[in-house]
Amino acid sequence: MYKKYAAFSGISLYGLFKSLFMIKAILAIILITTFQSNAGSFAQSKVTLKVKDMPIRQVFLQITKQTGYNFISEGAILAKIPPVTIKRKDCSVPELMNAILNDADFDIIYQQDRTIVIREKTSSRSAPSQEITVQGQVNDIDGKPIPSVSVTVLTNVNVGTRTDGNGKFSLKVPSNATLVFTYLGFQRQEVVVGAERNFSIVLKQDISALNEVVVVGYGSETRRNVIGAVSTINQSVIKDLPVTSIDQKLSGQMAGVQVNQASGTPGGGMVIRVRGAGSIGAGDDPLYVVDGFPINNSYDKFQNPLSTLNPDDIENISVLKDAASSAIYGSRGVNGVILITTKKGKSGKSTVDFSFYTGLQHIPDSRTLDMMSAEEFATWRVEHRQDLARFNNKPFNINDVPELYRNPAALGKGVDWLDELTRNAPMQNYNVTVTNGTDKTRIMASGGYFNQQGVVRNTGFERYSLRMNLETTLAKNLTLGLNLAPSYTLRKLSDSEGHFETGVLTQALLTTPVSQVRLADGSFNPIVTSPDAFANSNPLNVLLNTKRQSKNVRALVNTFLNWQILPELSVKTSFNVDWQDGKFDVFQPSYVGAFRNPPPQPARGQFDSSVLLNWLNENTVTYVKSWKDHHVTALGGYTMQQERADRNSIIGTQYPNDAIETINAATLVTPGGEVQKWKLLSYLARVNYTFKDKYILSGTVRRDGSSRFGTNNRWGTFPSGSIGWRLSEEKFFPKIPQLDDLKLRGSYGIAGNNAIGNYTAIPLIAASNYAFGNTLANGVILNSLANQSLGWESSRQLDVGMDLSLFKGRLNFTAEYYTRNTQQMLQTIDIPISSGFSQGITNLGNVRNRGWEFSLNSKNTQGILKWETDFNISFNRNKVLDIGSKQRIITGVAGAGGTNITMVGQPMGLFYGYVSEGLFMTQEELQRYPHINGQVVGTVRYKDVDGNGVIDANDQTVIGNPHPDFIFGMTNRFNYKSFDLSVLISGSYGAQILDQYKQFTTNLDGVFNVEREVMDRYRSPEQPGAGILPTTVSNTNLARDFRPSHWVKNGSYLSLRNVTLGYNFKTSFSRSMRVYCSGQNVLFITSYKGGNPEVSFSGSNSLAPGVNFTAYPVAATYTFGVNFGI
Amino acid sequence: MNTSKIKYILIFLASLTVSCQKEYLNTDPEYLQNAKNFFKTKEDFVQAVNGAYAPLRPVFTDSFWQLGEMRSDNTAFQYNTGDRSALGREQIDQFLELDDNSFVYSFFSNSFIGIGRCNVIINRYAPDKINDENAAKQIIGQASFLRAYYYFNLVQLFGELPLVLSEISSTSDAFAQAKRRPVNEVYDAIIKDAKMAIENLPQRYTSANDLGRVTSVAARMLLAKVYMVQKQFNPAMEQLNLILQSGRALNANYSDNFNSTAKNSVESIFEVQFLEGPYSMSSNFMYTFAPYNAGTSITGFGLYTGADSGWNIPTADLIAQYEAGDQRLDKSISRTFTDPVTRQVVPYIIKYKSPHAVRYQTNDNFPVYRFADALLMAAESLNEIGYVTGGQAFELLNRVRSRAGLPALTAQNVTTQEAFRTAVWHERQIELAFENHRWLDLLRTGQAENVMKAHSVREKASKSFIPAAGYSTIRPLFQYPRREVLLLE
Repeated sequence: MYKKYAAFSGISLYGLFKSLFMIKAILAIILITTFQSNAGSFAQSKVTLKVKDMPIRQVFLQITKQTGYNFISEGAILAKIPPVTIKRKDCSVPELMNAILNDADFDIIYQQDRTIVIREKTSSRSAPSQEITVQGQVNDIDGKPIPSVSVTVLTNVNVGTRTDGNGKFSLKVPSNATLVFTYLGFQRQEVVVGAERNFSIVLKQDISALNEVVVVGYGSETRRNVIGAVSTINQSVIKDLPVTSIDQKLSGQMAGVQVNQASGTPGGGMVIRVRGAGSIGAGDDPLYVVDGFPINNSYDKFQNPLSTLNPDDIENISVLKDAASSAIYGSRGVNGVILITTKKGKSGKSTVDFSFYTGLQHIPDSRTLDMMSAEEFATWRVEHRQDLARFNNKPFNINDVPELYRNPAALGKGVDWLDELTRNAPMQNYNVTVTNGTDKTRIMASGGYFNQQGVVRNTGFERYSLRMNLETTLAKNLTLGLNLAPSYTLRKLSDSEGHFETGVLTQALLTTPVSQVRLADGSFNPIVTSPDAFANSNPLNVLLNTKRQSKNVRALVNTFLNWQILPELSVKTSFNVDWQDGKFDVFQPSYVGAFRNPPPQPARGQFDSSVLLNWLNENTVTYVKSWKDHHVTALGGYTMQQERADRNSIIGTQYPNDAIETINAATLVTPGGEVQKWKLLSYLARVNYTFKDKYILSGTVRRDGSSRFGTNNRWGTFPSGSIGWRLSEEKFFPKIPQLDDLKLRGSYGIAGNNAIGNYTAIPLIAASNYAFGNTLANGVILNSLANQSLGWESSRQLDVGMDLSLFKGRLNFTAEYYTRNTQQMLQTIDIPISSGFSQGITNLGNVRNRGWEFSLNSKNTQGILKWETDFNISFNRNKVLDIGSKQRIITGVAGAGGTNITMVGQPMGLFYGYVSEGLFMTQEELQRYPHINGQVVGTVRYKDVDGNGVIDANDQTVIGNPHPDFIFGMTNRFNYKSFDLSVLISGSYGAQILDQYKQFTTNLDGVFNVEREVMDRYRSPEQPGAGILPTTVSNTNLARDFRPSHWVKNGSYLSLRNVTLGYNFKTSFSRSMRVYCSGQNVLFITSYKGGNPEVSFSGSNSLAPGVNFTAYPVAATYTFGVNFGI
Repeated sequence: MNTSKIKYILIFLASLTVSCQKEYLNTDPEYLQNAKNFFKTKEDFVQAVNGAYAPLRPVFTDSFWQLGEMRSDNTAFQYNTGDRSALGREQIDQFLELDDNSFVYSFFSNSFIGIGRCNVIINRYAPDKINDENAAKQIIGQASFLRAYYYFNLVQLFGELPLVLSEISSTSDAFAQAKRRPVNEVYDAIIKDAKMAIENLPQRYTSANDLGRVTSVAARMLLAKVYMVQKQFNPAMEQLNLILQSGRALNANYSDNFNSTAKNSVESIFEVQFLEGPYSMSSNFMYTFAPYNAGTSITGFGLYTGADSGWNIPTADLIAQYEAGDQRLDKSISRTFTDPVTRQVVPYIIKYKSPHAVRYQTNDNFPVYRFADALLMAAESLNEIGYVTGGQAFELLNRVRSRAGLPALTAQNVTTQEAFRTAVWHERQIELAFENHRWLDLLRTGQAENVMKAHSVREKASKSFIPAAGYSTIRPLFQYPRREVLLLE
């Protein structure tokens, strides 16, 4: 442990040193930008007053001199106030006023125009009032008129009007009236009429949750007016989570959004499902849109394109869940849309923020398998021979036991190979963000460096990122925006998961513990074996000396030009580019070898390079118009997008030696390459209409043309409509003071899916060579059964929801029900091989997801101790309604056969195998039950599912369900004085996991090391063990190849996803300064023993979810961080 | 801003949207040819034909030796206690395989993939585009031969089959044509294809670069075999006579048939072509057929640990069949390897053992039809037509025996039609051992049940690991693959 710690701190310092260069570069940017800052924009009004028996008018004069505030009052009122004696230093105006005036008798109104109005309380008035006419103008804080503002009289609701299109109003009121101005999204304001007849009112934005601005497709909307199913999350809530990429931060945060970390590979992808999996063949990954730019992203265990984005640059994230919200993305919206918005500069503000964290990742023992020690392994080998002798009715002869195993106790613990391959690994992040802005130009610039070393040795992820978001007003009504985000990522990967032929972590589990890691001279023991066990390569040697590196340069560029032609009409055109250049470099030297294939083996290498260019042009027109009680927003647009990826790959074999690793040194090279292109052309339109803030209607349509489909079916139309009704605004709705807002909403729409291969509809010619005359003869074949009439997969979704806000926004509750039918699924189906093809792609089938989602936000306490809770829970039910003529689809994870089955009437991807009903304990039992020829007492009793008296492949059946009953997440945030604490808990209930790795780790042949549970196997009628694992003397293949139902485990868990404790310093030299400690993936409370309960070997494949075939462990991460702002 | 200006702007934006839409969405892959633009020239068709040969390689490396030899009394396997992962192969040997046996399915699927490729060529065959009469004839001839050959193997091993003779155009078409047809319909189609091939193919290719392509002689072999299965010995003899006059001859040395440096010899009529080097077209029979504990001693490069080796091991029954002095024994089987663990001699096949440069990549072709086979077929057919004391049948049979260093059979020691029949069957077992003929011969000659029952008694007596149920039902056909049954349910 000490050694590991030392190594960690060394690396950490090195990383810090390296990043100093980076910081230097960033400082240069800061210096340029801060000089433009607009200092002293608004001075806090502080008053120092020392008077004795001074008349009130004189006191007010003093205050006016110091602050510039004017006082308005009826003379008679001031006369009632006795002379003032007071002594205050640096006191705020309201504090001072409260000290001077008795608030039981007087109302003090602070107006926007630096005017303080003083009037007597209504109760203390006596004079009758007369009707007068007042008029005025209502503007927002930027001086723009606000139409439709409600103007009423405080004591008489029957008197009132609304402002006109220019924000003007006129109203007859009692002379002593108080005017109340209310408008959706703005703070309510009251003004005493007094002597004034002409009012200039400035309404301030209301910043409560209901008025939060929600980013939606091609625009934004206040939360109050959102009538689709949209979940949002703000940077402030997720800023301290020490994770590699933004998708990891979504875990447990939103109802209906399931985020699973299927593998712990640094920089690897997350499996995200919005409202379940709907597609059998065309992918279930949501669409990611960064600053309006839909980027190419699909799940990959090793390479997550989102990991090239610096999570510190993200301002907020919206997830569009229902078809009404996502249909504006047409053919790509079917699996939900994740909108990512990066930070922007703001006018009048200049800030510099540094953030830094460093930490340690650790694999808790509870997340690794319990394998046999050397002593246990040897004992098992001895027992095997004892059992075999008994089985063959021969006396046990100790000489049959290899000499090495005869005294197991002497072998001790042996080598714990998994421990050798893993480590406590450091992780660190540095980021600096600068914002600055004037009326004309607003800028945000950031630079980040992130370094995560993997808990598996020789793996890790590094990212260098820069971003510059700029917005400038070129001329009146003409705004130009430019976002530039280059990044460089470096991944060190290992082939760690899956079948032992390749997965080095699996190899580590299976390699005999009766061995040495290193030889006496300190070099790696090249061939690891012990009696009975396979002769294998040394997994640590393989891991440390195999190079698998991936380097990626990416530039994301967004530009736009916005022209506000008229106050109601604007035109925006944007051009976006995503450019990626990737290199993947592999070298395996001759001295490492492979499993069951020990060294020396000729060295092999691989070099892949790819260049991807994706560009998008969008042109939209927006029209906004309000008149009387009507408000209309209309959007029309036209977009073009295309992508081209050129990939080349060279595999080199037969290197003469290990001296040169580059591909040119290989004697034999096999080239490969491809060009992948797609194009998309779209028209889109949306109209939102609001009447009296009560009724909200919205309609969307997008028409997409995609190059991926046959010429007959290129165009698809995706309409949607939604309706919202703010019940709480209705006259008949009882006035409940605690209830702020109640809204009912419903939507229905169609979204599509085009996530099939780029050329699937085109029959292609591929190479398939032969030889004549002992030389190569080029041959070609038709490589697939093409389908020219291939069309869109579409999903029809109905969503019904309710939003409730209580106690002045302190409690917000959302409930939603949805049902989503994915139809005409694009799927590759098995077809009779007599066609010459085993598979063909077609539009077929129907999968339904329906479910409930509930989210709650509660500000529990608001005093010195602030406590806020977010809670969400979602229930999704998946059901296959139709898969065409087939009865079932059997899908496997690579290397493990058909592990999952999809059938009509059942959820997708259930576990598939044999029902194990314990062991045959007696000869009589063996006779009584159907069994496989040759089975003996002590072997597994499989259920004869079809009841035909024979155990064969037809007895495979559903043995488990990988889908959870519900998932949930809860965040509790506490603020007490300078401390803040946040605790994120998330969980899943009811899902099962298939421990397919047990095919190896409980292999009874003796060729592998095995789990300790093998000690409880069947040995004899007297020692039947736990009744699950069978005897080693016969039919060991059955226990391994006939996937038994006892490999299915309960995968329910409750995770302590994140805990962060922070302390805020008040300093003279900083705007803010905070230090915090954070723990990520700290604890999984679960009965699951196989490690990560979110594991899924096939990752994003919805037909084979939940299979554990060993995986890169998910570490617990503990970090310490500092945020510093000036 | 006045409204007319706005109007212009909107018109401008609208005009952007309608320009050049049609062309924009056309996206042809650059790195692969599109079938729409293919099958336009002679070269296109020649390459497509080459592609139709390619499935022969997996058929022979992955599975045919299990179905053709291990299924019979000729070979078995070395029981691997440590690695039981290839149980499916053992089950084929012991008549215990299930209907989802992956090795059986590999044979079935690769054969149909080959048929599918032939169908594409035959469907799109356009002599006018090929614009070369000879080339056009060779193209249709080869495609017809290959389709017949794939089908002939399948129908003998599986019985009733879907008979797909045109290119499948859609997934629904694939289902529509998957219904199994009676065996006689399949044979009719095979005969038709074989005749088509005979009509169009040359007896010999002039270019060395065409060596290994099927000829009219190969097609006649195929047709003769079909007739013999159907017990039509006169038409069979008609074809065989033409083969005997085709200029083919026996190699002086039996081993030359398996020499990787002298492929496609004068005796060869049809052999599957393998090629070592960076083409992924090499064979690896010697690795598969080597005892699994042999390490580097046999192949020179070492074996993968586990169940990749120790297969197609000659049985004691077969070795006992070799007559004293038969030179073919030591040219076919090595009996020099002693297993270091069991200390027992494990015999293994050496027909496909040759020097090679890269591990698991050998250059050995695999014989399908050779002249010795034709001689024995003719001898058998003549005998079936009518036993003639000391007739031509004796002469044909003795040509094969004399090369093996064995004395000629004469009317003195083979006195009846029945005795001659037994003698020629025996000769076929030895001469063509490990060339995937044995099981098909046992089926064709109706000996399967008797031979295998007797064989199983001897096998079980010497091998304790054979399950009791092994060999209990000598099924003449393999079960129709489960996947195909389920798809059509």
